[in-house]
Amino acid sequence: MSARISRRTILRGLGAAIALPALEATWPTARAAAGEAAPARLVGMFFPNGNTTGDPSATWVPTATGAGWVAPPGLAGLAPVRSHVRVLTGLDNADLTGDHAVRMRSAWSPVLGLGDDGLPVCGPSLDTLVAPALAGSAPLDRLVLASEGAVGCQRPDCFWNFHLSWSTGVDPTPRQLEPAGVFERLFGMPDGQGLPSVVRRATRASVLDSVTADAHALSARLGAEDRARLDDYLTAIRGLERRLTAAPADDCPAEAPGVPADPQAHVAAMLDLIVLALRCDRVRTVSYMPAVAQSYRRLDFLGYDTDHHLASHQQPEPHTAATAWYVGRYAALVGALDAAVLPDGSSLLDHTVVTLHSEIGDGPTHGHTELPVLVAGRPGTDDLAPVGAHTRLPAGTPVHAAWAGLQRDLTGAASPDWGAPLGSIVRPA
Amino acid sequence: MIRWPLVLAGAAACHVADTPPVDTPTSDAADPAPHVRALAPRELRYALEDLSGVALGALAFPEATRAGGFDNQDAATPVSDALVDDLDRAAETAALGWADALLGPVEVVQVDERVAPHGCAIEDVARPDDPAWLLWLRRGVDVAVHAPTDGTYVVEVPLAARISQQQAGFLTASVTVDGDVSGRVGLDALGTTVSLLLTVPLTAGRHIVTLLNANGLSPDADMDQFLRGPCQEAAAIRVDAVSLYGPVSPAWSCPTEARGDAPCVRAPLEALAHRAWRRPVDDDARERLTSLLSAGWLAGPSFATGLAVAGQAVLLSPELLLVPPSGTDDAPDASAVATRMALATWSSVPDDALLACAERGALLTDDPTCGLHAQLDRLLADPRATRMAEGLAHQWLGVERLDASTLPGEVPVAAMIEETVGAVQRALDDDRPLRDLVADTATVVRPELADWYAIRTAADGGVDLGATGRAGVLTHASVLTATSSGSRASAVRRAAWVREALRCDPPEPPPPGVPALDATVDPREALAAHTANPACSGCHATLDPLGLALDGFDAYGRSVAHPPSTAALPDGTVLPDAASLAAWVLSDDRMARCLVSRIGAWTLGTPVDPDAPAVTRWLTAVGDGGWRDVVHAVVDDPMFRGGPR
Repeated sequence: MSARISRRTILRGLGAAIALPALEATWPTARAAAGEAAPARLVGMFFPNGNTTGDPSATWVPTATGAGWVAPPGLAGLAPVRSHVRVLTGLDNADLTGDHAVRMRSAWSPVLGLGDDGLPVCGPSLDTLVAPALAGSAPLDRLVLASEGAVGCQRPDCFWNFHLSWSTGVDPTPRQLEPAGVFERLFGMPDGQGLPSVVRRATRASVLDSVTADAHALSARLGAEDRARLDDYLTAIRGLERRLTAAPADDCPAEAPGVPADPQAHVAAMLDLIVLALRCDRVRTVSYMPAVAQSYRRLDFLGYDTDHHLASHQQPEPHTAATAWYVGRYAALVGALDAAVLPDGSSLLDHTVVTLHSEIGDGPTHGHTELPVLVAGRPGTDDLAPVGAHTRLPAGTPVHAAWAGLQRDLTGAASPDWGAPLGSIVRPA
Repeated sequence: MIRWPLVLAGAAACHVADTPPVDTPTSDAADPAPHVRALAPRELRYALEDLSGVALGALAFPEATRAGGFDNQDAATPVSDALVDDLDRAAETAALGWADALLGPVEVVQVDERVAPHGCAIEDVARPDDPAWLLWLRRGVDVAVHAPTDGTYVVEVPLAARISQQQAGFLTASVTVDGDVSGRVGLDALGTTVSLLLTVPLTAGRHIVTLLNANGLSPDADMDQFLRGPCQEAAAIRVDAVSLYGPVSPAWSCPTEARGDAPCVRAPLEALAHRAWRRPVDDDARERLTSLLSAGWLAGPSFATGLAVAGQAVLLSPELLLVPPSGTDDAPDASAVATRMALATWSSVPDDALLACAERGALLTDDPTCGLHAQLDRLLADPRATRMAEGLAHQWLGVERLDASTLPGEVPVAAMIEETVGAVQRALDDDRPLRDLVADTATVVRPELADWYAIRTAADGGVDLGATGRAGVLTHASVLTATSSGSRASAVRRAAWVREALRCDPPEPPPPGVPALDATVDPREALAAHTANPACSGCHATLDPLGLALDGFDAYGRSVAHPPSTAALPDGTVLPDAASLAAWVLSDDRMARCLVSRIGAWTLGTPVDPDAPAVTRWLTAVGDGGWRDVVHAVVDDPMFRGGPR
């Protein structure tokens, strides 16, 4: 019988999770014993409204490069994990006319050109591009998580603010906002809910066969153009079928999270879930938006009577405090992954690339230069940007070249839509 | 109220003969075909709840994506892995609850050595590969069951025969409840399990189910004599358990005696599929569902499990999730029209009555009961129509932006949201004129919001706020709070809300490189910088005066003493206060066009430009009518039946 960790792990804050001694128990031990190499993983985390209020060096860009960089206020929260993080500066997004939404659309996706309306036409996002290659035997292809909801807006582009992940050039990937729902996707319904497990096991394949047959019958009644949604449905059903045979998470138990009381607790719960999902190898690609682009989140919880977006335009102090808060969440995630030890003695972070970026650089001007980009995990020997160091790239280096480099490092090839990739950023898979 | 049946006939004629060319693009024009859409997560939840009768509040669905602000648009409903995953679990939960509600609680009484046999010993056989005790009945047993209340119950007894090799043919089992209602079933020699279902009225309390090995027993035989007679040595009947379900719901329609494979047993399942899929179940699908029913029955403790397993497949099916186009204007698909009517008003699938109207060909007529407008009025009068008011208030008027967990504890957020939802609800219920959204100073508020507004209301919460300077939804605390920044009101964001929600003219985002406003000075002075700076004034000159007119209300919607605004629009108009802002909003037809286009987009499931010819058409049809008339005009439009956009 395998050792088990506290069922309360997921309920505690991330700090408590870091402190737990026996995390190696949660790595799927059967596969580890079978000699399966720990696979690569990607977590893309986002923060809104840029990193600076006019002067990059005041809040974000360290003056020194290399390992001896001194943290400006925005990066202060990285201190506990700075040896695991690469600070990349000098990166630039395409010079597109537009504000948060336009820059958000292209923040993690390649720009293919401009549409008739002058707005960018983009491809699928980095997580969409790498997820199939990373998925392997993990039961879920990827998670797309968020802690701040979308709201109605009529401008055709404004909903771009709500999406980091895009399944295609035109379809954003719907986000999951409810921690309990994420948990159930990862681990199934709790005992006592739904059908008795013996019944579910006995009938599951037949139910999926039946709805697949329904889909084929329905397909005959639809026009070719209308079948796209049906194809998506069938893809999702195949995912459910795959999970029928996926390794159970029996050696990686956890208790479902509750309903978070406020946005900070929500972010903490989502970060716990990300660590849990990777540790239990339920998924290998995750994108996470603790807030939407152009976030109007109120900053009362940081002691400021304003909202994040307004602060990013007018109020350097709360803006920097908000940036530092998100960087702090990122650092907590990196720390928790570092603390999770695999059976071979390596840490989960050693196999996981964790990025942090924003839709813009400078807040007041919606700047597309000097974008904030952090990359943690998977140290390699030939890194263009050594882990633990501040690497100053030539001014104007396209941020898409960095994403292309990561795609190539993780999957062996970069989509040509990105343009030329940077050199190796993390240890190639 | 407009007499809609005439309009329906007129609209159809108009489309053929009189509509100008711009209105009737040929089939190869841009975007001619309505697309398949998926139910939005919100609609999926409501549909599952309506179909199953199970509240799914605790179940998560992924966030809806949006188009034009709404979650129910053809272009805004991708089918993601997360959605199907969540649907999978929700369908399982809903189907279980549905089967439970259909059959009621179940009592399973194992037939074992504790049950007194009638004279003959019952032989129990424990097979090593089957942990269940199998009982072979050689004459008869009595089993006691307990009905919790008076009602209709179903007694289920699964039976199988064991006959020695030499014997051919059948055995007969008999099941009797309280020595009165009985059923007999023939069992073949192969040992196949056959369930006998007796549907019987029972009073609360203990009842006796008598199981007999009735081989050779004629129905009019003397029972006492039979029970004293020889045991059935060579031919035994297997019985494991007796299950009592109930009280069952009225939807259970089996006669007193039925076999488990009788059509009446799967009838509730087919009715569920018919409603969920908005079409009669065809033979192929029936076969699939019947086979799932058997598989679940076999795997689970009872046939309720079979219904739940098959019900799960009904609810997970793409036939529920995907909404096909409404056909074409020439050949509309009445069931698809019914579905889109139900989605617009109830955010859910049609009920049986609406579906029946569609299937008997009466929906697309002016039939006084089943016709399009009669049914639409019925849908709008149903309590489920509050979902339309909620959707419009949240997604169009933007009250969804309020998050109680980020606002000071004393702000009555729920009451604020309720005021705005209620205003939309009354507009639809009472067919209010469109202008009332800002012109009507009467409102209904909960006591905590009355306190917040520092007003006294009638007992039902009704009050006219005209004297307090409020002007309809413009001064709802929900709207004023949702557009604030921290504890400070934002004139720019209030103005942007007026432009977006009431005029469908959202301002352009500020150009790159906008300079920061000085946060240290009075907001009015800071905004004056907009006018002074040519880079800003182009947009802000038309924007800021709208927001400054609402300066009499603080960041949380309370009245505050404030001098009237003196900011002038480019044409010199000064809007000193909310009432003058309301009058300005109503001074041209822009708000009417905007409201009609928003209600139209919600109802149609596709974006509608406020300047589109369709909006002109609907405004003409509505005339002096109100909100309901707009919904009628949209549903009456050829576009709704798959006509050209």
